[in-house]
Amino acid sequence: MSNAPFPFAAIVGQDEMKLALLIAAVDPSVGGVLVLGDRGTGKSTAVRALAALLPKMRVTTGCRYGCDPASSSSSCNECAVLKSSGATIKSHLTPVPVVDLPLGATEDRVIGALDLEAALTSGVKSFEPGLLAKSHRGFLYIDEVNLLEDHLVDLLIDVAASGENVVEREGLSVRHPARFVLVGSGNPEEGELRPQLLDRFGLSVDVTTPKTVPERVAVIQRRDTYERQPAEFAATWKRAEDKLRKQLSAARDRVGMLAMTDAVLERAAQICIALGTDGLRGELTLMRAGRSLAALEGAAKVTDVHLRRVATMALRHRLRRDPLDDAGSSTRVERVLNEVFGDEASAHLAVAA
Amino acid sequence: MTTSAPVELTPDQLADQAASRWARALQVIELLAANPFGLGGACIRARSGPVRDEWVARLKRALDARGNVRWHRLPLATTDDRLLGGLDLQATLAAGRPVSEQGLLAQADGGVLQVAMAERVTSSVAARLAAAMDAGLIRTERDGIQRVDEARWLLIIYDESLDGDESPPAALLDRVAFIVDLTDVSTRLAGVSSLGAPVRMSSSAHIAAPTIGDKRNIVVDEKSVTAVCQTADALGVGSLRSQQLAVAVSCTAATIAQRDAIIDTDLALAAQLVLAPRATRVPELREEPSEPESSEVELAPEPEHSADAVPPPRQGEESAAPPESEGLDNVPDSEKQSDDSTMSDRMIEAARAALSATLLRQLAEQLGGNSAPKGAQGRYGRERLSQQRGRPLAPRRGDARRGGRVHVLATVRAAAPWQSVRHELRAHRALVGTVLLPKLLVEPEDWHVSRRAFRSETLTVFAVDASGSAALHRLAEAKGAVELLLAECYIRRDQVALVSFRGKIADVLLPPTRSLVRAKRSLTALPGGGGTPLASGIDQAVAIAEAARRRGMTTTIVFLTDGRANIARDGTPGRPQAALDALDAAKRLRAGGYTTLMIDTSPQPQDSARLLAEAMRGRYLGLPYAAAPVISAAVRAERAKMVKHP
Repeated sequence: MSNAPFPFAAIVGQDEMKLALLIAAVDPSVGGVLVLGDRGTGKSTAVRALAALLPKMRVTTGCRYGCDPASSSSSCNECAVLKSSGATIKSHLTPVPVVDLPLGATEDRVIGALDLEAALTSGVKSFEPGLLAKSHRGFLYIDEVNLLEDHLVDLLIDVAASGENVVEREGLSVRHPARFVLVGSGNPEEGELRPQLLDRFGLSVDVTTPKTVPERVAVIQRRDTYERQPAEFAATWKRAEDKLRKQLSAARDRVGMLAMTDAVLERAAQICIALGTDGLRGELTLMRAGRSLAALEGAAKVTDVHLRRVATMALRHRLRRDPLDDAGSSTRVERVLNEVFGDEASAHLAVAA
Repeated sequence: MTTSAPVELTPDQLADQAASRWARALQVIELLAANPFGLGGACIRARSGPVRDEWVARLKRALDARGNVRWHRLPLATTDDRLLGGLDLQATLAAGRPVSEQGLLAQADGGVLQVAMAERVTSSVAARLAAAMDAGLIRTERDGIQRVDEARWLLIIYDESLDGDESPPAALLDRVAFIVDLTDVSTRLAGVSSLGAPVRMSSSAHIAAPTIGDKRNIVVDEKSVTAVCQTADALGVGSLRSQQLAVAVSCTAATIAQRDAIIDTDLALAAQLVLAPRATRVPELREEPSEPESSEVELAPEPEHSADAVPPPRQGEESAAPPESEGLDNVPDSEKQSDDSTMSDRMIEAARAALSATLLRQLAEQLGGNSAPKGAQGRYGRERLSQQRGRPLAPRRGDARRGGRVHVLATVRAAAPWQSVRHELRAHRALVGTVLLPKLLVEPEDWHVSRRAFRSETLTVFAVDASGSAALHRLAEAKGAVELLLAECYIRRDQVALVSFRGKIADVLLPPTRSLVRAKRSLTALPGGGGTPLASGIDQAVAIAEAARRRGMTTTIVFLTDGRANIARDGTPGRPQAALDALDAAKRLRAGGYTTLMIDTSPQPQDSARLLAEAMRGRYLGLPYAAAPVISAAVRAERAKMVKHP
């Protein structure tokens, strides 16, 4: 762990997964990312690599929840008091947190609980922040999300959606901001996630083992080089990483300024209606993801092409289950997209690709 | 090169092959001893016995030559607090502040971690082990404690399963380099008496290889990696981890031989020890390795599962050739186009030599496309369930005397904040400090009891008659019904299994699962036609139901058949005997007391199915042209009754 993480740019293939993670990093309001697929396809590697890729963030010094000194809307009670008092706020830069939720974690460590140490030694009733507080403004990664106990998953998704962690236990009553991007990974062969839960993830991608020999060779060789000389390996990839990091920073700055034209909004609605997705979450995610992608690519405005490219990952997990339809959900989304966009957009796409 | 119709092997050949298997097992020891923490570990396929003990003893001696290595055992029923660590209550109470303790996974750091009966390990335990292996660390976030411990061990998992029915979790198999098969290795061969004592202690010629760290100083060139990947591709091994491990094993082999680059021999060894046991298809030597036939590609989508589903070489039919003395039946192609393909061809040959004839036959059958790809059937869905049972709820304030177990931690937590206050109060009451107060003062209102939510799980076994002319029609209905039920089941965490009987025997097409993905895959491959081996179908359904009952599930068996058996248990045709056998099987089913539903699918409902239903004491439904929704509705109704009156 002390080693430099595997560079994001050095991950072979898995373009859809990388794109989904980048989109979520540009605009956390897209919602979490669910990565489903084979073992040993670099799911965890990608998430850890993303952490190192993200530009550092500014946090209020001394704040236990890592509040943003610039933002007034999402700060914890202490910071809010501090800000309203008009005192100068000290701040410093730290890496964006990527917190691992290990299997077997108990609820008290996830949401935070009474600080036992303080309680036992000095009899003080104080709150000890949990993993949710730690991952504020960053990422919370759950490997094998389908092995996590249901009540924990429910809780996580609830907090991820509301952006706030409310703790009412052991005589404590605490609320603090917890805005994080939930990244879950799992293997569908081990049992499926409940549809209610699937829907809560913004994007969903399927990963498979690389099929061609040259790709596999590349994976194994890079891994091998990395394991031998992590520092040198990181150095080789530094330029690519820096470029990606700049792109990401720029996209983050721009994403709020990108306008969505009515035509694009209408397209998004059309797609969702054609697919019969429930609720508005699908449309929202589709639009936000499209906007992130446009920002990431430095486009001047969001276009159909952007929508189309994110549609599969934004919508495939929101389809009504149809056990008698053998086609996978990705195929079904593709089918509808072809209908909605017609040939003209497909031609665009071909050009873009 | 034909792989079907294996020739019966003579006892001599069998002995030869057992010998080569033992030799390979000893090579594994050598490799593990040279690089104990770089190769993951090994899975040993053998029942508990002197041969396995001897192998373990040899590994122990080989590792001890390196220095003292501690051996740990992971008990099957380990709970998270022991596995991962957490609050050490005793120490906490003594010290008056939280003290954490290491879990077993952290304690095993730097040693050997053995998992006995690995086929019974639940997928959640496997996932915890796998996470620790990937990171080399164990993270604990429990009971208000957070800690990170080093956790690097050599994992030895013992696979004691009887046949292809069960196997260790794929997550673990994927992370150990070696799958060692000791089946049919005689005690004489292993140099032990059948009573277990080693015959000659000095026979351990294979151990004490020089230890030279791991692969760091070995050159891994692109050619070798390409050869490994091509070989894996030819064998249908899809997992990248296995390929990485194969490279690591070659490096270790080169290190032992004190070379600074990998050569063919090392790669061949890796092919035999790492890749061959995971093969899901028969390698073809002359085929262009980078372009496998399309029919074979279809076999490979879930390669890591195939490793556990394809039974290991068991029958002891195995060709004994080590890579150097190659050439029993594989005549190497003398005209090699490039160096690359020569290398991988040699690896494939070596791997072939390590494939047993049985495995080859099974693979050939699968390639024939008549049965569902076994590779797709892990046993994960099943295991997850036992973990789901009795989900603990948050502890609640209450009195343990009224039933329930005291939740110590919650109690301590409840008591903790008041300690200083209580101590002061007591100190006031007790006159002068003559009374020694306990560190922790617990009062009645602190008591918490633990709660658990139980949900009885249900399994519906469909036994579908896939014989004869009506088969296609019936099958479509059955498939529809299974999918409809499954669509609900996975919301409610119920499971479905599917047995089909046709031709001479019954097949388990879908082991109990709630995975829609897997079910669909098996269902699309459901073939039809042939005789009606009803007895065998009933037997198979009962076998599944029994296994499910042992896991604490409630089972419903649904038959879709016309009840007219014409194949007896032993596979011979003949209506009278077949009917008798079917009745006998039905009685056996009744003895098990399962809820049974017999759906008569013949155009004109007849007595045969009704009689059978009576013999099973099951419900009879004549649904000559039932569509899928009707069937699934009937099954649901039946199951609802059963849940009300268990």
